[in-house]
Amino acid sequence: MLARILLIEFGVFLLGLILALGYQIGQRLHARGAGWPAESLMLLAAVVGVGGTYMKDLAKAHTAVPGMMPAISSIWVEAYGLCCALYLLAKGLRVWRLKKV
Amino acid sequence: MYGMMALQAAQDPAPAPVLGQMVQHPVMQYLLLAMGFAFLGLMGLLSLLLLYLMFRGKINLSTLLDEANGDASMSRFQLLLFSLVVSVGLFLYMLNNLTLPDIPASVLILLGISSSTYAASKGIQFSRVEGLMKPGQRPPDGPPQGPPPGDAAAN
Repeated sequence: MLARILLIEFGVFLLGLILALGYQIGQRLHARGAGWPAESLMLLAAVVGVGGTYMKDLAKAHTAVPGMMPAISSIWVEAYGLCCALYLLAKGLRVWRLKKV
Repeated sequence: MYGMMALQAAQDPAPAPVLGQMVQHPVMQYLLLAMGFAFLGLMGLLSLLLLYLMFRGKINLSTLLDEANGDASMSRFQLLLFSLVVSVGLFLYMLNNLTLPDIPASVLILLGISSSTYAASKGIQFSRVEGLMKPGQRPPDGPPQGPPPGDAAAN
């Protein structure tokens, strides 16, 4: 019983931490009027896609295979790797094109 | 002498499990349960205090996702998000089974891609000094690049 209570406590704390962090970051971005460039938005879409799919798998199949967490489909992993490569390429070009000071 | 003592200890019968008997005593059981609840209560209070201070702005973690030049960093964000997703998965599994699971290779590969992207992004950002400065910011004064003008006039 104690272990279950500890895990529930940890889960509530984790959720609260995410909410508090999101609140602080949202306030800061709103105050500065800052935005994210296109490659960041692409990576954000990929992160939300892969993360959301995996969370859905986690919620559906606690144990499709007993003793093992659900896996991520290889197509998602490859797509995510491609998105990361494109992000790094775009970021590299952006930094490379900065004017010298 | 120590060898003899070790030999004697090895020949002696195993000591009675005194500690086990003590733990199985009903009073000790209640005491252990009370200590467990007290520990959980303390941890819960500390967690609530931490969250309260974060919501009140006393603990500010908003720069956690900033680049060196002040922009929002997507590479940090994706690493944070995937770490949280996998930890939530572990949490859900342990909540249901109360054991540690085997983590599939695809999840580890995904975490590897995520961490590598963060490290590479950091390298790109720090590869040029212009990438570290905010727009309109001047670089800090460095060491003098040549002889001062007075020396040239004297020669």
